[in-house]
Amino acid sequence: MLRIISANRLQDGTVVYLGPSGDWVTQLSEAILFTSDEASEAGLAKARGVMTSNLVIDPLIVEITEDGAGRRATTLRNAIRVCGPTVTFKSSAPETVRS
Amino acid sequence: MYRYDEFDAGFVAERVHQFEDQVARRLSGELTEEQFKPLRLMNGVYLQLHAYMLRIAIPYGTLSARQLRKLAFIARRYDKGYGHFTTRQNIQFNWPALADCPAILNELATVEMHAIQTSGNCIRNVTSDHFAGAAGDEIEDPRPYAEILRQWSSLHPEYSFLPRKFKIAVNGAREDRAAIQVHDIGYQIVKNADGEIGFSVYLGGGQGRTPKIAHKIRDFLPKADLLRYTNAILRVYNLEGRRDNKYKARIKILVHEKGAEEMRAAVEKEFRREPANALALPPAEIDRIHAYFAPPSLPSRPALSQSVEKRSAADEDFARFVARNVAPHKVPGYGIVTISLKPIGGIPGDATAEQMEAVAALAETYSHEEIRVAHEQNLVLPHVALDDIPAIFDRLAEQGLATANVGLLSDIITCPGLDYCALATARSIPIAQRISERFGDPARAAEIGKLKINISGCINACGHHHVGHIGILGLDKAGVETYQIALGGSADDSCTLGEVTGPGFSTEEIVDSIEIVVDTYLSLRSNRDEDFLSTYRRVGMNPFRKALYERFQGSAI
Repeated sequence: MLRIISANRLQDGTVVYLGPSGDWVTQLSEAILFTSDEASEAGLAKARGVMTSNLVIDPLIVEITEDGAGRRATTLRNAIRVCGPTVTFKSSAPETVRS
Repeated sequence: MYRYDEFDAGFVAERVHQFEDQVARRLSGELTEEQFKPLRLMNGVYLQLHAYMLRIAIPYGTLSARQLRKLAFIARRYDKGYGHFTTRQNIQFNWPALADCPAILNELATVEMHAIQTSGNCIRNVTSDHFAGAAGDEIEDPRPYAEILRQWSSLHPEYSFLPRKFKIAVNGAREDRAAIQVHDIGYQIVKNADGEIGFSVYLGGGQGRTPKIAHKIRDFLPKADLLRYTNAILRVYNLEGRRDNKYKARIKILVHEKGAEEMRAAVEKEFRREPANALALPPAEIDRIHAYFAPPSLPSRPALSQSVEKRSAADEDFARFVARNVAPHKVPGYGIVTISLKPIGGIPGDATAEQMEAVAALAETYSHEEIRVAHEQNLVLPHVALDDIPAIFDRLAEQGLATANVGLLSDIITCPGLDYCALATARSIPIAQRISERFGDPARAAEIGKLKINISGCINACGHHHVGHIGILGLDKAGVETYQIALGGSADDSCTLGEVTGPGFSTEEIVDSIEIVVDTYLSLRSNRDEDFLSTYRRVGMNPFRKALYERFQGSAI
């Protein structure tokens, strides 16, 4: 079972992932992979420690799968965290909205 | 509308300033998340699955055009160009940056709005009838009393840390449009045998994981005693409400465990313990608040509008809009226009910045600058001359807001569900969209008639599924979304909780299941005038259950 550490960025709530060099990245493909319970728990503990002080909130372990098509969360909840809402919300004209 | 006085303005400005400082200290790392979380929640800032969410209070669902324009500005400048109107008459923005929240609150303060007490174990936004002050069946406008309760309860030191959140609704019409019997306290304005106007008091209603219908604990409460009685209820609750288990902490559980009669006696005892003049509302103060809600001056007009009649005869869509979305106003020649935020296949309750601005412009031109938010997640223009309805319809149609489905099957109440909410166990919006599309044909919807479908994405019941004529509850069963159906719920004066049909249905099955329920109703109704709820109450659950489970086995949830 593959696992990554995810969290929400403190500044704006964006979903982020723990990267290989201890930074927080926005692409699931760039997240550091953990292959055992012990390793992912240790990663989570580290994430909950110094790294979370003012960068991210609510770090958690997320199970994923990986194949030729890339990485995917194994639950709908986490898939929605990765990809955003499954519905298409109506928005203002793009040029008038913050990116 | 109520206008802030110097105290209100200073109070809100001070809160914004405090939050600005708190956010800066959090972003710098001076405050930990554990320290900061209660502070952000007190200012309406939640964390959802993939972003923050800011919930803004719209007291008793009343908005000015200027306020709606400000919400549109915030949607465009600080969010993704849209907002979501909720079942508590509030608005939520789904994508604000934490760093921007103080600036947003600053913007809100300029139009006398805030996000205080939209979260936490305190007295939440007091809700009311969205037709208040305009409805033909109104005894008295409930909003002055909702405003008095709002002022009294804002940052009330004794009630800022209750066992759990606390929701009050006030209804002033004969028809309950505020769902008062599923609130912690429901105040129904009544006239007694002596012709005096006061309140009937309902206590201990609520939805969530343990739904309860409120008990009527007093037939008549004089107006002057509104705060003293509310205070007595809250004192009993604050002292005796359970704090050991958050799932048993709402007042409905206390009322249930203690018994309604004993609870009534405890409240009455506490009420009498205070001197009669304590918290008494002086008539002059009631009058002062009432003056803010004085009805607009509406010149006399013919009761029948020739322009409406003429257009209706020539335009089927317009005729349908008038039939479904225009309610009688207390003044002849005027109507109350409900703007459906439920386009066929759309997201219930969502409005873009442009749509908000269009509605604000219509309110400025045609409805004395007033807008209401309905707990059914629609908007309302409360004071419209019937002659102006054709022009309003045309403007709404340009914005995709002229859907003529109020009270029909596609006018679905829906919580944000798993697409946004961190508490949700299943998606609710896509289910609403698919049902809306299935029953989107206007002729079919008209044939089915009045039918309310409410959908929640978890047992917290923000989508009011317990009181939908058809209620749908989304659950997670071993990692798979499963939907329970309940039938026969109602939030009006004949308040009932829906009964679960049986095992739940898969995402693939749920829309077909709803169609089976609807077809069963059509086959059973005694005539076209017997609506779904009446038929259900007459025939009961069995024929619906039989029809459903003959086709689907269900998932044994």
